[in-house]
Amino acid sequence: MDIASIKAATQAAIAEINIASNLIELDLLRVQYLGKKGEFTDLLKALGSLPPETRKECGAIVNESKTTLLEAINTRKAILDAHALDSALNKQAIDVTLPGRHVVRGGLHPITHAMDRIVSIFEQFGFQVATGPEIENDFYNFEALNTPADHPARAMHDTFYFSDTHLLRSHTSPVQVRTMHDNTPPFRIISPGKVYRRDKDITHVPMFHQVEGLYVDKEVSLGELKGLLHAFAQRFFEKELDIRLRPSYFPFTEPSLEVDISCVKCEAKGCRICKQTGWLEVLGAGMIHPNVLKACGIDPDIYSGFAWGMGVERLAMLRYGIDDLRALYENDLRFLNPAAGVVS
Amino acid sequence: MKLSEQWLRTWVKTTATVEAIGDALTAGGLELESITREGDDQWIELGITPNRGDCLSAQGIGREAAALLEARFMPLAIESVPATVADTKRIIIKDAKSCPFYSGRRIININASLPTPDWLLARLKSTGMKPVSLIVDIANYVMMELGQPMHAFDVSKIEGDICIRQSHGETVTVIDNSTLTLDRDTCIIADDKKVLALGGVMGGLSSSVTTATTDIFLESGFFTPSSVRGRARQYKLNSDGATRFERGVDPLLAERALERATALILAHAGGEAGPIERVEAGVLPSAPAIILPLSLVKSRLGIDADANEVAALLSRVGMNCTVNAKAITVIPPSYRFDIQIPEDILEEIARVYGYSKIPETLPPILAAPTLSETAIPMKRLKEALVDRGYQEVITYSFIDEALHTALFPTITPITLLNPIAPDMNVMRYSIWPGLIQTALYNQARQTLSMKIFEIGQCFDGTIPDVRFEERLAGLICGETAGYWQQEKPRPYDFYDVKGDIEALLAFSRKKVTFLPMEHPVLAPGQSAAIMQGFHTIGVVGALHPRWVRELDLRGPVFVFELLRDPLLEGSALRFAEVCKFPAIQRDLAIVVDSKVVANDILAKVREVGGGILTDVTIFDVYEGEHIEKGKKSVALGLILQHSSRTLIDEEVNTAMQAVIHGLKQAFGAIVRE
Repeated sequence: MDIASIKAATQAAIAEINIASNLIELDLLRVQYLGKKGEFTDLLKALGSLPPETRKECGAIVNESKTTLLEAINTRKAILDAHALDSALNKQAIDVTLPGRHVVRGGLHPITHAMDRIVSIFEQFGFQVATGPEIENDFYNFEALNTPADHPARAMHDTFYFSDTHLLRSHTSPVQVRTMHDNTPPFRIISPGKVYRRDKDITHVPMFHQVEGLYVDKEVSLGELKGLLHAFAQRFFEKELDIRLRPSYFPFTEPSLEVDISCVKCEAKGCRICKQTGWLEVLGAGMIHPNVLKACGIDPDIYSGFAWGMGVERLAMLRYGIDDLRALYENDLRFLNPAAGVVS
Repeated sequence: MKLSEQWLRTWVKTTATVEAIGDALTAGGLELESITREGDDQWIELGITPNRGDCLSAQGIGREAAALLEARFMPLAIESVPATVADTKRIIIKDAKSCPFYSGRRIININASLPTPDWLLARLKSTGMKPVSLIVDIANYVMMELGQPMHAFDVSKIEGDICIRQSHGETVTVIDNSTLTLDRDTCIIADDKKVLALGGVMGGLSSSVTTATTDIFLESGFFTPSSVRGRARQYKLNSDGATRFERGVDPLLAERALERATALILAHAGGEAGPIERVEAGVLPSAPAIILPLSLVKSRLGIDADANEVAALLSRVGMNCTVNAKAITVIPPSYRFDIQIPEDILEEIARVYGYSKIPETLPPILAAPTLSETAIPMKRLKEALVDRGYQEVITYSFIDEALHTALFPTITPITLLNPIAPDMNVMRYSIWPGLIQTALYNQARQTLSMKIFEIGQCFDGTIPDVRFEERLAGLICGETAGYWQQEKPRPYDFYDVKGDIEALLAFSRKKVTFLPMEHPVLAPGQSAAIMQGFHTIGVVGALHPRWVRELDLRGPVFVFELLRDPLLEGSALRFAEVCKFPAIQRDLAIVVDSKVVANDILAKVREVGGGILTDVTIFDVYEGEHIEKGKKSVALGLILQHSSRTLIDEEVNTAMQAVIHGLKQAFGAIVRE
């Protein structure tokens, strides 16, 4: 036994440990070198036969070698453990591209999406929602709105009737009349809801939705109406767009206006949607007629106001790319919720 | 109103293109609807709102275009045609309220069979009017040219005088061949024997001009808007005359139009004209002077303009203005029936000034409204349903009466007088019919599994005492989606729909119970009333298999309907500290009669469990092997806890004995070992 041969044996053993290919092989090497009858254990036992001058030095080297070998074995064991886990995991691998255990989601109707959007934009401008009955009487639907019987404007609304006096509301304006009647100004209200007109063809359904707005206060101006509706249109479509007011006629407003926005489809260049005009008619508006204020018990010399009404179907169709109005009321679930069951 | 471009250009001196004219008219309130090429001419179609009766003629549109384009208006020069014969017809006005002014003249020895000249025919056609015969075409042409409705009678068919009076309830056949029985207040033109025409609406067939007519009486009168309003619709007539009179025809126009028509008839049908006869029996409407405070121009319109600028704008549309220090006195022209109040003047200012030039501002910011924390947003409830797989639908509020009656035979529905279709004739009493039709529609298109809901008004009562309620209803059918490989789809059952309802009701944090109930539409043993305290707030159940079969549905189908408002009001949010002392859990299995319901068992346990019983749930229900027929085993989990100290065994045992005793007393329950 000499120092050189111990060191050589140590190097040889480390080389073997580092190439052990599994835990069993590694354990056999541990027994072979460090076990009770292992080669380095034997070396320690054989120290006694060495001359005293070399015994101490050789003893130290053998012990050092044993520590080195144990470290090598532990290092190798960690590597082999990691390999074993990897290979076990590999065997358990799953197909992560298969669909997840998902819950099928339903959906809201496109009209609800558009209506909620309209309402929340006006709520941000301080308007509050008011609602009312869909079966109305002639007073609230027409009379109080400066539209007496036989007024030519009644022909503009083909109304559903239950009797001489009761009808399905042809606009949500009765809600505004009721609110003005029962409260004191100032008012900022919007009235979303179903309305009915006796019309059914490719561009008309007999039941549709409106959101009407009402603003009554001292010193209300047409400039505010223009600014508010322009701000609404830009927010609803999330687009910079132009607004155009045209004189029109409604018995309950004076002046009365139609409000056009620059076409959201073609950026006002002219397309099928805007009939090549570059403009889309989206709502009607005006300053509230003094007769309407009077019918609601409000003094038109003190208060003025404006009102507007928009068809939700039109805005929903423009916003969501729906071409056929009738599809909204067929309630075909494949149309209403195309995403049901689809997992991306 | 439609007319030819070349014709329009005879009224306005402008070099503007037809498109530019259209844009100016649109910006001024006469919306350009279309321009169509027609030979070497173009036809311009404009939308005329009901307030602008003055624009229902070439003259009116020309006048408006000139004002809006700031171009020169070129009115038609009309000269009076002197009488060359003395023939007359006596006119008597008895209904001066409807007809304050009436004029006319005889034209004799005409040849009514001559062709209508081409230039006149072309212009007439551009307005959409059908050619009839020379005399009728001329009368129609003058109406389209100037805006004055006119009528020509065949004098040989008139017996006696011409009298304008109220009807006595006569019957008359008019020129569109319909026979009318007249209301007593209808203004008519009559001779001594019969009705010749409905005043301002339509002429009678018997006295109408034919190609054989040689002697005519040409009428040009003023009928008040209120006397004509609604008449055409009432008698189901399509009348261009009525359309104009009910909107208002310039009262100063009647005689001018009469001269114009006379000249055209003499030129193209020959003949000789008698003197104009006129009767002014009542007061003609005259334009009121309107005082417009100048401050309104700024405060209502946001336009900065001084009095002279405002007056200049108004004079472009024929308004006669007198400028004072703080106001302008405006007299509108005789043809504008829609200018009555200062707001009408404001509209004129705005549209001539240009809406595009009005500066935009925003309403001032308001103090924020109160925000209730117990109010549950409808949107949140809808989204809870959507998350649980429900698709929102919107069905018509009017439904088929047959379906209504099948489902709710004891409820008389509210019926429409004029439904759009026979199967959309009654108002819904419940949302279920709409949901059932939606299910049928989709089942027929291979969508067999669905969860759908709708929110809306439902109606009850009889006109005029109608009640309406906002309701939320749902329908589910088919099976769960399942999951590939592992979880097989399973048919939906009662507890699926009940779980969905419970999820909705949980928002309000209020106690709700489901009570077994009988319902005519639902399957017995699978239907429940949903109670909040003593109030029924909804119903849920399996649609009765009889209805499933009769309606041709694929069952089973589960439906529910809830009142909307109770869902939207929650109880206040409160948080309590957690009890620090240990809770004891005890399980108890009992055997009771199958008919005993869970609600009753739980209520009994809570009643007799004493103050230390903090919770009780049912975690298993079993019927079958080892259990006597007609009985079931119910496993209960009880939680016992004291709020201020640790419980001792004896207290727990006493409470359990009380529960066991109470259940035995109430239901004959036997404890399973």
